[in-house]
Amino acid sequence: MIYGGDKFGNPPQHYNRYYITCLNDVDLPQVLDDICTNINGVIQIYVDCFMSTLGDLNAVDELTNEPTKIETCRIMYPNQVSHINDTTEILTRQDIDNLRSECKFDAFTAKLHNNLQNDPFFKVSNVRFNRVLDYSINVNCFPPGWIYK
Amino acid sequence: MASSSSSTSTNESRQYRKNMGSVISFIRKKRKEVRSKTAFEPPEDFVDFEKINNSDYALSPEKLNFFYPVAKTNMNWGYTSDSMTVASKADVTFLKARFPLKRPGPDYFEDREKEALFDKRFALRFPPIYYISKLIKRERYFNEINLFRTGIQNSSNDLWRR
Repeated sequence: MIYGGDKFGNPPQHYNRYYITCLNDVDLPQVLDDICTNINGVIQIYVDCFMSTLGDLNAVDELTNEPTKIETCRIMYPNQVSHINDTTEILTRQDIDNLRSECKFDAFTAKLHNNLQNDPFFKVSNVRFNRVLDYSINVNCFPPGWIYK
Repeated sequence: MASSSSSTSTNESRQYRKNMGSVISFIRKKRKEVRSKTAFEPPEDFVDFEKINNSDYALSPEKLNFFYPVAKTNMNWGYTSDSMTVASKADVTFLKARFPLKRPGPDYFEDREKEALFDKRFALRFPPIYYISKLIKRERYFNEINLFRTGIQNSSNDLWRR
């Protein structure tokens, strides 16, 4: 529980907050490792991404008057709450290793794919995962004494 | 008849009490043995309220600085003013060096993705170019504010003194 705050009424977790976006050509585990080892304080990290999805749109062929389907592309952007990684609080080296394993390309995309498959709304409309456009990494830095509060 | 019956009952009860007494004494002895084996022996630095209350009331200046730092008030427990600004500056220099600004080339997006990105009907409330322009404006605004911040603070302090 965090009960600290300053005289303006802002809790301290709002002070050092970094929002980093990378294009999809980076090595995500290495990037996360660099962030976790080099940024000061106790780190809370959320990894998510902008991605493109494919879906089917119902249509009617005007010539033959038969129902057809058109493949459509849409962009999905990260919600403020959602995150792909399970380990969010980084306290030990083991946490960083877990984060690296969770954010490997295969595991990361598989999780995205599963999220779409398990969502009833997208399941009905047959929305499919296409590719990652860019990674968005949300880092909160707490003061070092945060775990003791 | 009555007297004889009463005498037998007293004998019985006496014998019964004797037996019970021996049983109770046996149990007590056993209990003592067991408790002597499993007795809790507190260590020397065990939480003792007498010791705590007898602790040092007259703190040395070093200890005073450590437990009650001057910069910290009851309202300001976020380490923002002194140590965290240094840390955040270091973070920002690291992040700027590690993540230089990189714009995607024209081939980065597929054609269908471009259509979706700049489509006003779906996804974002406004097309992304709107938010990007807003971000740039905000950055410029905060840079200007940081230039004038010191002047504003001084003027407000002067007002209070008057």
